[in-house]
Amino acid sequence: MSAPTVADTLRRARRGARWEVAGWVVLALVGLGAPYVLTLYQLQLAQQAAIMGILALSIGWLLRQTGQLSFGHAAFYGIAGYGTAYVAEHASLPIGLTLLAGIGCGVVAALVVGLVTIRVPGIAFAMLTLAIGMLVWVAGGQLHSITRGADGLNVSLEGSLLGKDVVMYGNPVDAWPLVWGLLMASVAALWALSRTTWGRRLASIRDNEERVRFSGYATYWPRVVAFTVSGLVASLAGTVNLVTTSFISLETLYWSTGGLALIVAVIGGVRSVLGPPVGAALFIVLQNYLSGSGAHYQAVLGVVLIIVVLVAPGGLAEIAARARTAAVVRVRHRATEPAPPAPARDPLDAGAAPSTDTAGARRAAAR
Amino acid sequence: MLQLDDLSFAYGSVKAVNQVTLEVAEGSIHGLIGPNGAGKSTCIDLVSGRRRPTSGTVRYRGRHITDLSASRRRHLGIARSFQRISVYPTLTVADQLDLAARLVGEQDVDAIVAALDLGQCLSVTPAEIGYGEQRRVDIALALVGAPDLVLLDEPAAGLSREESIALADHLAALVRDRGMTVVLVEHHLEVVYRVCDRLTVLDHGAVIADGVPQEVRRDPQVVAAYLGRSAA
Repeated sequence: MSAPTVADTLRRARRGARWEVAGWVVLALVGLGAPYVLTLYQLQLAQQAAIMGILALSIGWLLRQTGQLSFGHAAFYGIAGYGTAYVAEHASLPIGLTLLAGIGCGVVAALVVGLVTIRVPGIAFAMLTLAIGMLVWVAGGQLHSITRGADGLNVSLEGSLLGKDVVMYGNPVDAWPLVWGLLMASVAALWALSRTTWGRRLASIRDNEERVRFSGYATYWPRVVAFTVSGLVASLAGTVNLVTTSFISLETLYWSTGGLALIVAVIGGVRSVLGPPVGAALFIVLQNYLSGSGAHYQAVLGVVLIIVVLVAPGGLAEIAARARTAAVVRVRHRATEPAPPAPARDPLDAGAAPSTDTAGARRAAAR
Repeated sequence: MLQLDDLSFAYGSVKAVNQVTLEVAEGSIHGLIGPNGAGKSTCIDLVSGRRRPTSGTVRYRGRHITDLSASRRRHLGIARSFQRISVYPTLTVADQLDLAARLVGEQDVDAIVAALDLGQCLSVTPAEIGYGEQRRVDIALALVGAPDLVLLDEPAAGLSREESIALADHLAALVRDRGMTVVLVEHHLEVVYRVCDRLTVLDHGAVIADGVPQEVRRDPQVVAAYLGRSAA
């Protein structure tokens, strides 16, 4: 047998991902059917979860791929929303370009923040992004003519988006295919990006930046680009939120918007791209069922976070992965268990068909 | 190929490297030895760009590289391994070697895998393999791309005598086969005498001997540095 090669080993690993892709395609298609089985209220909750899931995905992917913890992503989420609102109000652009311009505002902001902060290591990076996020929030409050301050801003978008009047996306039934599609597209895009050479290189920088530099690779720009990509996904969430609610307030810029998304990403598990959206869904469900009891849902969320961090630091995704591994091991174990001994043929019953059941075999062996 | 001229480096008031001048010939395996704290690893750090000297220069193929970044030096053909194993904990060995190979355009990474006997570890992460194998992955990452100059910082650290000698033989064969020049920092003197063409001995940051292994091992200053003044 020839010795294993690097290329063969990588090819085998890629082959294993095909099932993952197939699973996601099925999930994406099944998810599209949500309006047929959920009530309008439940669908509205699902839509909130999906949008929060996109924001959580952006933060979780950055943490997973680069190891950097950002508390400033609410800024990109909010800037994209306000950018969209501003362009819609002041420029007569087609709705598609209006939305792209809004997302572009968030992306530019992410690029600038990334350029400034990316060299800062560890917890200082988290604090710096938090500080910048708070600065943006304060600036938003000062720019009252654009943001309308704490009162918020009602936005009237006009035009046709994907064959529908954009106003129709205020209805969850109409908005669901768009929101779900964007969530699944974001998940798929970030998953695919993680598996490219660039994505693997980001992971290697996260693992051992010094070794990467000594391998001849500068580590600054890849991390800036990763931060910007993450900001792009957060901006997408901010713009979709505006399209579906036609309203934006300063709260979207406040650090806790990103902080909450980070918490749900950790609960869902950042090691899997599906983890953050799953965490967001769990949060929305908890919030909904416990909303009658005041702020109790926050206490429950805190308890869930503690349990997850202590029991499975990889979040719900890790629990699911462990369960899957255990199931696979059990199935393989069963498959490789030695077959029960063949029943001894009774010389007095030569013509009888051999019994295949275990009890019969045991009886035959005892005879 | 490599010249260090009056190279010095200090950790605060402690001079770790003190006016070291040495020359490494192309195609040789040049040992850098000395007792603990002699400044061997710091010398490697200065050549690879991990640290900047307080004074003196590093020249590589006649070019001053003293102020170049580590990644620039790698592109010039200078690679290194680390005293403490430096690999990527969450990536499989295959991923690590593939990424390194892509960076430097290595076409035959499997030759390194075979030479360092890493074939059975390719599909797993470093956490799933033994110390000796992790050490070999670290060395493999330095050797990918056939760099012209390889700086090996205690490649046999933590290995048994037999493992060290086997590794040294493998390494010597591989680097000679690929036409590399090696600066080897090593505590196992048996390994050093076995594979090195020339030795430089450091003590308290300064060069106390330089020459072929047969001469250096008899040098009274070297014996004193290793065994104490009374032995000399």
